[in-house]
Amino acid sequence: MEDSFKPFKKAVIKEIRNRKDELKDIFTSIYIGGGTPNVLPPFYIENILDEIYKYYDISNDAEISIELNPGLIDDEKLKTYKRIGINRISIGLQAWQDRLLKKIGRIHTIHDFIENYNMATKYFDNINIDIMYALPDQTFDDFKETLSNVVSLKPTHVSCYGLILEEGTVFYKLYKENKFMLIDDEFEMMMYHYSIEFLQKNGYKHYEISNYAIPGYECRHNTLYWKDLQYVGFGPGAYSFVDNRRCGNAKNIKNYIEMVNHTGYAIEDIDVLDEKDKMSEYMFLGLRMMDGVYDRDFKTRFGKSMFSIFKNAIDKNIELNLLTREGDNIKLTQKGIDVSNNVFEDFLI
Amino acid sequence: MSKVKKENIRNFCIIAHIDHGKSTLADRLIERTGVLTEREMEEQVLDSMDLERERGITIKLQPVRLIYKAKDGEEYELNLIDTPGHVDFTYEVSRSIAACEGALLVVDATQGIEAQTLANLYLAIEHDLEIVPVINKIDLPSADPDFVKKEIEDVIGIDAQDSLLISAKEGIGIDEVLEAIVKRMPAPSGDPNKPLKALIFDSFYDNYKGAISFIRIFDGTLKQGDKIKMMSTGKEFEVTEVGIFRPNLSPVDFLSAGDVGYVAASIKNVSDTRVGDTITNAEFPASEPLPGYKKVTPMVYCGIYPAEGEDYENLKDALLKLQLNDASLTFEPDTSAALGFGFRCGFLGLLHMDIIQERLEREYNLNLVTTAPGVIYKVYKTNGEIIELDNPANLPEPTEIDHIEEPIITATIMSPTDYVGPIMELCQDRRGVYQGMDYLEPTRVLIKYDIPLNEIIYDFFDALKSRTKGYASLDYELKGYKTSELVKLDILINGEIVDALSMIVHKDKAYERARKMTERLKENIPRHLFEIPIQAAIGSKIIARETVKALRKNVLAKCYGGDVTRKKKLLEKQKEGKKRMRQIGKVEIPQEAFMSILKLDDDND
Repeated sequence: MEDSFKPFKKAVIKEIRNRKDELKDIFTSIYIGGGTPNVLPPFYIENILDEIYKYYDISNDAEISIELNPGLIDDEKLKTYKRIGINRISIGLQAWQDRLLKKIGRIHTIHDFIENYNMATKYFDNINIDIMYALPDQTFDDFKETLSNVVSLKPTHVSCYGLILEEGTVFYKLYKENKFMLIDDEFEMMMYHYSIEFLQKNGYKHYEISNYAIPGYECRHNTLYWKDLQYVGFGPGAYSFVDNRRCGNAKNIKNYIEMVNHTGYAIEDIDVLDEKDKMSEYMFLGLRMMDGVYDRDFKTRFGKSMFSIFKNAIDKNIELNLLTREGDNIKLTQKGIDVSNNVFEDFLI
Repeated sequence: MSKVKKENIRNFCIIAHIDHGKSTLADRLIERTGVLTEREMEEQVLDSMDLERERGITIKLQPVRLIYKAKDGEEYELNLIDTPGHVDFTYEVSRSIAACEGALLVVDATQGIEAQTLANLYLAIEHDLEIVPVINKIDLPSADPDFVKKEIEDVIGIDAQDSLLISAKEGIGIDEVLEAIVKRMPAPSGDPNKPLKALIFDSFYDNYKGAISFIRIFDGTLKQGDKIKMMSTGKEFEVTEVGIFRPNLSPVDFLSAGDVGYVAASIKNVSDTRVGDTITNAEFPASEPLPGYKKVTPMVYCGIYPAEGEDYENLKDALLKLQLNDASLTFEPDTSAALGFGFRCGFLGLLHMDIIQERLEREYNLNLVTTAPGVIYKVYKTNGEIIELDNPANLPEPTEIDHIEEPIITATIMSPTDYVGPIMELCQDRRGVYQGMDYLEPTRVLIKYDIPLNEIIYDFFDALKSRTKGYASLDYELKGYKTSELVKLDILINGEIVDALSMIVHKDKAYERARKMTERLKENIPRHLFEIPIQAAIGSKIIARETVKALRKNVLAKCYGGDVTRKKKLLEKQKEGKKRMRQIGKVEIPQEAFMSILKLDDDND
């Protein structure tokens, strides 16, 4: 089992070494993601992190997160993670009902999750739990149960996502084959609004469309995406954003390994951004955060006011009650969040 | 090229149903007589447009001259005048037939005669053409030539015992066809010394030579330098070139009585070379034109708009270019509040309309939005005025209208007897009036109905096809106009009338159509931030309503580093999609919504 991961690990390490001069900066967070990095033997994670520590300047109080899939967590892994500096974990629970977990193709049961969660709290106090709404066959009561049970575990952070139907996913296939019905938009938004209200009532700050945290525990790493800051990513499907380029690595693991072995890199997708793109992205990423966007920050970044660049978009959406303005800040209203893609579209230039 | 004496000329056409092998047979005849070498021979030479080849139909007539050395040792000149096999082009067919002395009747040995074949065949018999029945596809296992022979005799009443049995595809029986043309069809009559009478059976526009007329000379001769006169308009021109088809245009010194060829005379416009018109010599004119000329007028109208407003000029250019070769296409500028600037176009029929739309999109790369096809109504106003109305938007106020007449056609449907029930049901449903039924043989029947044309142009063909598994064939001809209880059906989207969606329908059909249209529009109009009522109305009375619910959700739950590029593309796509939409008040309507109402029948068969 272990050996099959070896070429992968070697490729990631090769990529890290190759790209060590790409972004010279002090890094405030490391995120080991992609769903199930805990399938890797823990010492591989250790090897990879060691490489990063070797070549990059990581700040002392950096947030170092790993995503974990329940059912694949054991004491040994947790102990290693803790020892190598990881200080935040994110567990994909999704729902509290075994019948729904089965329906969406998860291998874990609620029993696995509770066991794993309790195990993790021995080593970590900064824990995120991922949950979902608008799942096929999910009732409002199912979702309420999920929320209240999750809150009773007192995680520092909750990510609560509505199911997205995307081409190429298992769900999309099932949907096309009429294996399940999509939940009505009205019902989905009812669940969404309930989750916001419930989590806020329980002390969680709604700080991004789908993210909630005990104040001070907002995910630093994800926030840098929304603040349009720079990052480097290694491994299959990992994205980097440096200067004017957002680059994505090959998604397929085999292709990734081959590309790195042959060329030292695995870039498959490059998006070169001009100033207009950068301003647009700054807005539609920034507006994902409930605090919205401040013109003073925009000016610092671009030397111009967003109120002149995006005058039409801002005026129109304030008029439609999708945005509100207070001083030099704009942010989405609740209605604006619900149809935020309509708002963001206006910020493309 | 030496000229063949008149006794050795044969002018003939091929009458066949679509798919019965007309083009293949024409190819074989060309091949066998060696007009083209095999290498030059592209499949189906006569169908010159890609579109025709793809659809297996002929729209434009392309004659060809074949030189055949017969078994009697004589050399013969065979002029093949190809005919379109579709109901829209009946008049063109009749002119081609008028240019011939004989016709090959090609019938598929596995299928028998179809309605359109019959219609053209009657035209040929009317013009006293010598009919030579040819039974094609005899190589197929299901071929039943005896049955087809009997059918030809029963249906048309001509002797079919000496029908030729061929397979154009396999090249079987081609020599026999050539011999039969020579032996059984008469040579043209006519006198080269009489004043010129030449029948125009087609024309096309050439960038260098101007409008070129395809002609059959009945009397007289024609050569370069002659002054000619178009007898319908009196317009005169000087001949710059005469020639024959081999099958490309080849100049000759002169054409005389009996000949088929072309004439060019620096004519700027194809509308001056009208099909069916008689060309005579301006200095020695004939006293009478050849019989049968009529000006063809469009039967079916629709609005054609560029999907992107900036393509208006391109659309205009494209229509002008198409019109150069197609005098039966008419268009005039039209403005719609919903669709912007476009054209109201007139066509001979539905196929003609389809073909023009397809050519605009394919050959001129235009993205179009079309409105529902309509016919010409005669609106009798209370003040005595009569309006010929081709655009529902121009219908006068109800108080000004005394009554409206609509065009009625006589439909001839040929079908296996199994489908008589469904066909009658369909015709009845389309306000048809039963005229009669003939059993052509125990298993095939010919049904006649008088049906309003506006019931045919929606989706009658499709409905007929689907109800008869494709076995029924249809032919129709205009019978006349009849007073009818017609109303204008308007569609309101978010309270505003969308002019491009208005249509004239029979009172009894209004509710059903209104319901279907509002349903279709509901399916095709995306949700907006507000609720959108879609209503159908006659005057101020709302007769159907649907609602597009307000958009409640358009949010991307997850957006992290790897999602940004994709997310941006999604937003761009969303924005791009809206750009192509039409703005009606506050509502953005996609093109598909306009197109979705053109075929309303297909979901409830």
